[in-house]
Amino acid sequence: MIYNSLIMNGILSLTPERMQEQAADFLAHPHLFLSGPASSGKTSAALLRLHQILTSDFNSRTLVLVPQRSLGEPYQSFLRNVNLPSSHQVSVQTMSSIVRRMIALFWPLIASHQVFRHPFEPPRFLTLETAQYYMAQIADPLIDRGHFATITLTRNRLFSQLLDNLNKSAIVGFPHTELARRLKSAWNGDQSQLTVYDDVQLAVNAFREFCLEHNLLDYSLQVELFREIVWPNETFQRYFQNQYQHLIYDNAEEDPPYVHDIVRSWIKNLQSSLIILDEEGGLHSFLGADPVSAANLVFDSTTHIRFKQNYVSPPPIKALLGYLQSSQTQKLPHSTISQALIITSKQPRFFPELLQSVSQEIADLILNGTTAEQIVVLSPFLSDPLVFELSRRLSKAGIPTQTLRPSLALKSNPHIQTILTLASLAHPDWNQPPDLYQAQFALSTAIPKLDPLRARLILDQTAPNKSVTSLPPIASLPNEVVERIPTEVLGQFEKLRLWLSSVDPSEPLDYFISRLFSELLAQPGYGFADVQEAGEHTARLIQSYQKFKRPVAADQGADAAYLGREYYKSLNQGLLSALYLPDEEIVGEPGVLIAPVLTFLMQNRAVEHQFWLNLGSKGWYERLEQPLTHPYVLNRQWQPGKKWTTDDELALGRFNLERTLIGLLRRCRGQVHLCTSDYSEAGIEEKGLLLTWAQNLFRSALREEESD
Amino acid sequence: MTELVPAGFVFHQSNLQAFRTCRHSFLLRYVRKLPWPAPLAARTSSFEKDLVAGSTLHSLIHQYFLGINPELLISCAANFPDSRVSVWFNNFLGSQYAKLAANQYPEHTLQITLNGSLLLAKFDLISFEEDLIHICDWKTSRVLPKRQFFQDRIQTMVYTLVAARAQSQASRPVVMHYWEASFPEQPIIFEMDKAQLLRYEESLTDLMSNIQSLEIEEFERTSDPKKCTYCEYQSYCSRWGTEADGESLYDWFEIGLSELDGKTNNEPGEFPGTPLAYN
Ligand code: SF4
Repeated sequence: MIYNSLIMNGILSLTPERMQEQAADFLAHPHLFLSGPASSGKTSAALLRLHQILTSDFNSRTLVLVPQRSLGEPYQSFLRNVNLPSSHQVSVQTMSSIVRRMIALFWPLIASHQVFRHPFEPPRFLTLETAQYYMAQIADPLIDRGHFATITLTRNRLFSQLLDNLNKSAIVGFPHTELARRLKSAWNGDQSQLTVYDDVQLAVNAFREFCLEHNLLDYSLQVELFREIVWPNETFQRYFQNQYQHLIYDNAEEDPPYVHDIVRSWIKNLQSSLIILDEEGGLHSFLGADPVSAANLVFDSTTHIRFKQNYVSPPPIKALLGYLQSSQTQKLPHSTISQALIITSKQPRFFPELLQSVSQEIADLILNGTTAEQIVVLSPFLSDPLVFELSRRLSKAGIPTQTLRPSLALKSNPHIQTILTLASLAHPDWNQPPDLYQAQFALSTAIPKLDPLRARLILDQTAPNKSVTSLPPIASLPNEVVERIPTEVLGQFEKLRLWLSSVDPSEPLDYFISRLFSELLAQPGYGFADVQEAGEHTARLIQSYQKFKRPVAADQGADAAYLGREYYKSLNQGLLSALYLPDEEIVGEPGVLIAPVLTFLMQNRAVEHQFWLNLGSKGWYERLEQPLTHPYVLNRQWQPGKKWTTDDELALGRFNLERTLIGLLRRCRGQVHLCTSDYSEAGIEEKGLLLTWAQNLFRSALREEESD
Repeated sequence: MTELVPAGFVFHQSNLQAFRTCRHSFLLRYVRKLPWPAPLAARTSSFEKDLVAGSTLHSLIHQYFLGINPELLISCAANFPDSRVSVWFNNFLGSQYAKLAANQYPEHTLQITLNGSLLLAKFDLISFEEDLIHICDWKTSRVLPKRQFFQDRIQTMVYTLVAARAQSQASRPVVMHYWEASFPEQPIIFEMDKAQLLRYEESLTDLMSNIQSLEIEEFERTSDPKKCTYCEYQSYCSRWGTEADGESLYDWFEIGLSELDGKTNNEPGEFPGTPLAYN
C-alpha cells in the first residue's frame, strides 16, 4: 500500500518489485516513511535507494542511521562491494556514536556553558564498564551505610541498574531528579520498596555530581549534553547540515525516543529521508526502544509506503504466522503445523540427551544438502556448557559452528585467564593472589608440557592456604617432585618464575602484558607460541585495559601501579565483565550459528532451519528482575499516575512471546525444530508459556482431526 | 585479481605506506585485520603521549575552522595536561595557516577511482582557490624532517593526486603544505605540476594493481629486519630484538594518529573512530 500521508488518498496497487522501485526513487518520494513486517524487503528497497543516490548525486553525503551496529551490516556489505567513487560519501552510524563524536568535537562549546567544575579540561568518556567502576565508588559507601538493605542483587547488577535509570531519564527526556517520584508513583506493592527508590535517587544524584566535578561523561550525560547544548547550537547545526544531505534510518523502532526527536527536527533540512519501521519490532523495549514514538515519524514524512509481502517464509510457516496474528479461533490443520514445526517422536529425559539428538538432526540435515550457515540453534540465554557441549558434538561430526552472544566474560577466556593470573603473581603489591586452581590452570596453559597434576605438585610447595602468593624456585623443590617432572619443563617453569619475579611493579599493565606475551608466552615451547587465537585475545585484553585506563588515568594519584591494581580488582569483582568488543562477539568460522534468541533477531537474517532449545524457560518472554528500575514505567508511553500491576506484567509476557515467535517465524525459510527434554538445562521440569502454547497447538489440531 | 583484496577495497596513504614498508604487514593489518599485541615497550614511553597530543592539536585546528570561538579553544588548549598543545596551538594561530577564507574544508574526505581501484584521502585542510588547490597537513614531529623525507612519502603522492583528480576543473595545480607545529616558520611546501601528478598517477596505479594481483604467499615478510622494530606483528613473525629504525617508528606513529583521528581505520561506509559508549 502506498499513500501520500499529506493527502492520504493516493492508495495504489503495485507489485512488490514495483513498490521497492517506488521506495528507491528519492526524487519522487524525497521524504518517505516505509513500514512493514520483517522479511518484507524494506532494507532491500533502502539499498536500491542508496544506490540511486550514489549514482545520481555524487557530491552529497548520506547518513545511514541504525540502532545497533549489526543492523548496519547489509549497508556496509553493499558499500564494500559496490565499488563506486562516491561510496565514501556514506556513513553508517548509530546515534550513540554520533553523540559521542559530536560531544568530543564540540567540547569547547559545552565548556562555555560551565556545566562542569573544570569546563575547559578535556572530557573523560565512560563506557558502560568504566561508568560502573565509578558508580561503585559512589554506591559502595551507601550500601555499607545500610542503603539498599532489602535488595539482594549482586553489586555489579545493582550498579548497572542505577546507571540504567540515569540512561532512561536521558533517552526518554525527563530530569534525572524525577526518577524516584516516577518509580514510586507506579509502584503497587510493599511500602518498603519506596525507601529503595529514595536510595536510588540518592545514588544517581551523587553520581551525577561526581561526574560534573570530574569531567566524567557516562552515556546519560552524553545524551543530555547533546540534546540540550550541542544540537540546538547554531555552529553545530551549520556543520551538521553540511555533513549530510540524505538520511536512511533503518529499524527506527529499536531506538529510544530522543533519537526520533532529533530525526524529526532534522528531516526538514535534508534533501531526502527514508525512515524504515519494522511493524512487529521493538525487541529492545527493555533498553528504551520506543516503537510508538518511531511510528509517529510518519507524520514528518510526505509519503508512506507499506510493504506487506513476506519474501522468506514457506506456506506452512506463513499459515502459522497468519494463525498467530489472528484471533486463533480457526484451527490450523495438523499437517500444516507439523510441516512448520518439527518435534521429535520421543522426547529425551535429560538435556545432554537432547543435545545429542539435536546434533544428530543437524548432521542429518547437512548430509541431505543443507548448508551449515542455514541452521541456527537458539535459546533465550546461552550458557557456557551449552555452547561448549553442542560445539564439541558438532565439530566431532565435522560441522563448523559459530557462536554469537553478548560479549564473553573476560575471565572465561583461557588465554586471558592465564595472563591475568600471571599478572597477579608478578604483582604481589596488588595483594590479590590467585587461588590454587587458577595458578594450576595458568601454569599448565603457559607451559603445555606441564600437566595440571604436575603443576599442582609444584604449587603445593608454596600454597598451603589455597592461595598462591609466589612460585617456588626449582632449587627448593623436593626430590620426589623434581623426579616426576622432565628437566626441560622444569627449565621452562624456572624461566617463567624468574621472568615474573623481575617485573618492575611500576611498569604499566599494557606494557607488562605485551612483554609477557612476546618475551615469554609466544616463545617456542610456551603455550601461546603459534596459537593465533592467543595473540588475538592478548591484543583484546590490552585494548580492554587501555579503554579502562583512558578515563581513570586522570584520577588523582593514578600511577601505573594503581591503574593495574584497579583494573585487576574491577575484573575480579565482575565490574568489567566484557571484552573490548562493543557488540556481540562472533566466535568461530561461518557454520551452524548458536545464539541467544534476541541476538539472532537483531541480526535481521533468515535461515532454513531454526532449533529452539529450552522451550520451557520463562526467559522466552519474562523480563529480568530489575528492582531498582523499570523500563516500561520510565517510558514516554507510560501514563503518569498509573500503577504497574501483575496483570500488566502478565500481558507484557504474552506480548513479548508473541512478538518473539512472529519475529523468529518471519526469519525462517524452512522449518522450526522444537527441542525439549523432560528435565531442562537447569535440571528441573519447566513449563513456560512457549512450551504450553506448542503443546496446545498440536493437541487441539489432533483433536480437531479426530473429531472430523 | 585475487579475492584477497576485492574490487571495493579502499586504498589510502596508511595501507599503501604499510605495503611499501612490508607486504606482510599490509596483509595482516588491512586484509586479515588481525589484532595482535604491539611491542609497546619498544615504542618509547613518549609514543602514546605524542599521539594524544598530536590528535588534540588536530581537533583544535578542526574546531577553529568550524567557527568555534578561538578564545574558547585557547582556554581548552591551555587546560590540556600536555603543555606542548597550547604552545602548538598558539603557533598555529600566529601562522599564515590560521587565515580564514571561503572554500576551506577541514577534515575533508575525497575518493577517486584509479584504473578501477578506489583511492581515498582525508585532508586536515583543503582549500579551493580559483586557480589553485591548497592541501595542509599538520604535523607534530619532535625533530623537523627533511624535505626529501616528505617528498618520497606515499602521503604526498596520494593527497596531491586525489585532490587534483577529484575535481571537475581538472587543470588546477596543487600545492601541498606540511606544517610542523614545533617549527611554525618552516613549512615544507610542494607545488605539483601536471607532469608530476601524471608520474604519481602511474606509480600509484601500478602499486594498487600490483597489490590486487598478488597471491597470498606473495605478501612476503620484509627482508629488512629494521622495519620490524616497531611493527605490532613482531611476535607473529618471530622477528624479535631487531635494531631500531626511525622511519618505521614514524610510520607506526602516523598509522596510530590517523586511526586515533578516525582517518583510515574505517570500513567502507562506516565513519571512523566511533567507540560505542552504550550499545
Ligand atoms: S614483523 Fe616485520 S616481517 Fe612481520 S609484518 Fe611486521 S614488518 Fe613485516
